[in-house]
Amino acid sequence: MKSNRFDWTYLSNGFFLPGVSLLIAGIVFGASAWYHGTQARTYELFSANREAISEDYDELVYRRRLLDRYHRRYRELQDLGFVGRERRLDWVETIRAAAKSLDLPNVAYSLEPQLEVIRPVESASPNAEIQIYLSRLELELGLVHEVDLLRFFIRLEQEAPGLMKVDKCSLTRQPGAAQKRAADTNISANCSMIMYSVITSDISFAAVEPGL
Amino acid sequence: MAVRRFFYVTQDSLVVWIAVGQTVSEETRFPSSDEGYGLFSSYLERVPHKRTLMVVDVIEEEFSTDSLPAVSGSDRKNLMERRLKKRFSRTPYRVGVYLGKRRRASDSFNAVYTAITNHELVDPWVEIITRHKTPLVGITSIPLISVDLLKEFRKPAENSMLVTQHQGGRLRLVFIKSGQAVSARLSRDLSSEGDGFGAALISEIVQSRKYLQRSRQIGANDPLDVYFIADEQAVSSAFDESQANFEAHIIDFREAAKQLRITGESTPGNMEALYLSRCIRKRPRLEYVLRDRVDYSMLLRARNLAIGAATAGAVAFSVAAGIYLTGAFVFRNQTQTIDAQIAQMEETYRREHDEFEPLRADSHEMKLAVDTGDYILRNSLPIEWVMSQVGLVMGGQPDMHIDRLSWELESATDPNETNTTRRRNDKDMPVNIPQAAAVTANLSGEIRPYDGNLRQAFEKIDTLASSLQQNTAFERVAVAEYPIDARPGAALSGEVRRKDDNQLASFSLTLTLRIEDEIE
Repeated sequence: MKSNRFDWTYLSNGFFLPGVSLLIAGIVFGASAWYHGTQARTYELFSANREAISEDYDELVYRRRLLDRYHRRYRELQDLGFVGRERRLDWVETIRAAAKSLDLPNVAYSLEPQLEVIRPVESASPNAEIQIYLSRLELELGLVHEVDLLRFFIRLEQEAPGLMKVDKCSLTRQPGAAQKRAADTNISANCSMIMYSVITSDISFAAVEPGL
Repeated sequence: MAVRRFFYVTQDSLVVWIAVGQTVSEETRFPSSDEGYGLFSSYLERVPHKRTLMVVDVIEEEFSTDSLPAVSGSDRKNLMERRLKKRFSRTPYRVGVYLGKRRRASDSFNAVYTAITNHELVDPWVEIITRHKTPLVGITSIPLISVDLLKEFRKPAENSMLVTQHQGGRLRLVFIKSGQAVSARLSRDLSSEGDGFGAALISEIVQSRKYLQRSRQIGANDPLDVYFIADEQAVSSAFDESQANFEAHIIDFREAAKQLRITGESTPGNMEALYLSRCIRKRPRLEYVLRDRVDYSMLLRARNLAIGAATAGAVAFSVAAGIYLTGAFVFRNQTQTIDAQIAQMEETYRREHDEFEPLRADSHEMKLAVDTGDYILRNSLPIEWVMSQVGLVMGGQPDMHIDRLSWELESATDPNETNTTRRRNDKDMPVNIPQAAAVTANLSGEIRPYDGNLRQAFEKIDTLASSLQQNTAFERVAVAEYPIDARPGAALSGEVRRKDDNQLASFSLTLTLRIEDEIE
């Protein structure tokens, strides 16, 4: 059966509901696709953030372990004066105070200019920057008794800021010491020692004491 | 899509048949009158949108054969169309069929034109159908279906005639030539003949043959195979007695119904169901072309297709939207979980960091500072160590007096590298921290009081060295100097006085401890 006529009304009749359904479904589909894309991008972003934070957290855990392990020692070294700027004034005062309190007949000291030191150990982090310095100190002491030398260095270790290392020392009994008075120099001592200091970030940021 | 409703149009009625499975069932009947048309209109108003095939079974259906020149394609189609229109100009219900060559050696070709000449029998029904926009898939007729029906049971002979009983006692006689219906008749009602039905049947066939011979559709001596779909027992006796010039083939109506899978009771007096069942199985090959009318069947199909496509699209969109939304919610939940984890980690991170305030030193710097301090301490020697070690032994040697004690921490590295004193031209060059390798101590003194007994003095010095070796941490103690150098290779000189109270027995010892291994 052939026809050359067309009835749009008939054709469209009954198509309204499916058409509207198709339109709504299409809109819902588009919206859901957009929402899906948005959520997927958000998820990827958060995943990447989590990865980054997770890495940071792992780094933090590692640092925490380092801190747990080194913090106390670091504080001790900081209290000792090893971590911090070299405080020569304190040294001189300590030497003078020790000599006075031990009633040493004479103490001569000689401090050489500070030198920068090559780091003896390497760090896993390239950002870890510290500066290590040393200053050589030559001491000439007149002692009444050799025990005074030990007492003197104990005082230095306790009160002078910095990590101290004595690498050379000689004690010489003075001729005729037995006939001298108890307060005279019986023994002369010549010692060479090195004072170490370390500058870390928190030292760099700290204010410099006036005159130093 | 199979047709499930039929409008069976006769001279005086329209019968609605509904397909039930593979068979048909008469639903309702409308007489060809104004009242009938009104009832039919009401019926269609109730059930308009059902695909329907109209089957016409009227007397006024004419066949006309034609001889065509040797043309083909659109020329032949146009030619046939013109001749069809010329022959049946007063009716829209017409169709032409191309039959092929007349004879093998002939240059002429045959065509047959068919039309329902009294269109007023069909028009009122078609108008109502069109008004109700009922999807009419086509208009066909019983003679046009006859060939298809006969082929269901037998292969038609060159000249065949299918005879079926219709509309009560009427006979439908369709002459089929070369597989195409070229003539059809509807007989008078023979139901009143009673016992003479067989004779009347034969008479009708004979009349039909004469008509065919007159119209030169069959020769006088040409064989004619007549196929009856009827009660075999009722008509077989009639054919036995017949001397007519045709060959009869009886197809029992029960067998025919069974073959077409028609369920329910069939009667030989009503073979319409047979034709319609055939139409359920397969759409008729030939249909009348309905011109200048809206094809609601095609529109219904297009509409259903559009609705189906829209519905399928909506379902597909909905499913896809569901999948996307599910995925989006999964992403959202995972994002929320991650967000919570991030917040927790950040909180932990912040708390952990706060614990170490106000230190600004990086943990790596701390480690570096501590490791450096440890390194320095490892390579240091306590100030009292040498003195205490020597003191362990000297307490038991009252006549051995030490005048000088010195010690030095020796480095394993190059002395130039370990030089911690600034040189003239290396002002800015950093120096190394010396790595302790050994501690060397020198001890010198004298034996006091000394009675001049050199042998005893040597013995005391050796005893002191041995004691230092055994009782201190020094691993090697060597006598560097005795009161006199008694080695054979050395030059030796001395002076002996009668009275000498100031004799001295000095000595010197070197003590060594390698601490490299201990440091490592």
